Amino acid sequence: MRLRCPQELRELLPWYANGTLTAEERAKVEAHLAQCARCRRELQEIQQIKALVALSVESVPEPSEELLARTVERIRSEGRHTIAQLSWQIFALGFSLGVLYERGRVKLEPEIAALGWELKRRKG
Amino acid sequence: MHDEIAWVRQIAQGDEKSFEKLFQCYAPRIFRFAMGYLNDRAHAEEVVQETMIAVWKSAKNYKEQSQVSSWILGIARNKALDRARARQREPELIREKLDRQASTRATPEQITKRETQAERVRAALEKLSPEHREVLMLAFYNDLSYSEIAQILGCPEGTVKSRVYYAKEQLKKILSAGGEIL
Repeated sequence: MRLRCPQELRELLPWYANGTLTAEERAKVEAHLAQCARCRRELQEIQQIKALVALSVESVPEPSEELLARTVERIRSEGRHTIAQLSWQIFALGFSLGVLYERGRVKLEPEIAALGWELKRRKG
Repeated sequence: MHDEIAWVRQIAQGDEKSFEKLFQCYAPRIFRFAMGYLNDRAHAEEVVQETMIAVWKSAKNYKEQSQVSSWILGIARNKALDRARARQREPELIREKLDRQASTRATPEQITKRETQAERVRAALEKLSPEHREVLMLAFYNDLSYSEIAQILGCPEGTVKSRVYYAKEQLKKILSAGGEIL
């Protein structure tokens, strides 16, 4: 009997029960089940265990409807926060470069210097 | 059949419409998936949110060799495990939950047979190793294929198949001893 139940087929039974086998695998399992009472019993047990495992989780079918709106809002607010942070970092960098340029410690390309001064001017 | 990979590509470009489509498609699945780890609605919703925000931020890093479902559920798994670990470090919250459960137990006539059975199965699942419990939830509650589970857990498909087989045998033994199944 054991010889007629290759381990590879028995190991597919859980996935036969949850409906995720490929058509080819399903056909192999079904051909075997048709002639093996032992594997049919095992499949019944698996289906019973599967039902019990599903039962163990509180039955709440769907997340709340406003979850998408909440998530999008969170993404947007994090995005706004990131842009604000980035603007401040660019300003700080520009300001530092401007100060160093004024003191003559660094020779800056004119474009970079202009950016620094522009940011400084916009900040006030 | 949705073109999920195309959605992820669009999300990588910052397209909110594609994000909404992917969200509608995956939120119930992630929610159910997280419930398997946390069995708590509020925490599971947090996992949905955190997972989808991570998807939004990391869409450009998505490797198209893996299925979109495995990629997303892999992220959800990490979020759910982090949350489960954090909950274990919050004894007062767990106590509150136990108190709530105890208060529902206080009136036996309100307890249905189904709830009692569910409680027994939860207790049996708790006796399994975390690896066995996880793989059973993924196969029998989330209905994932063995290849999806292998990608999520990062282990070979053969390992997933044999782990489910032994986990199921172990659970059967525990449930049979408790009179749940023949």
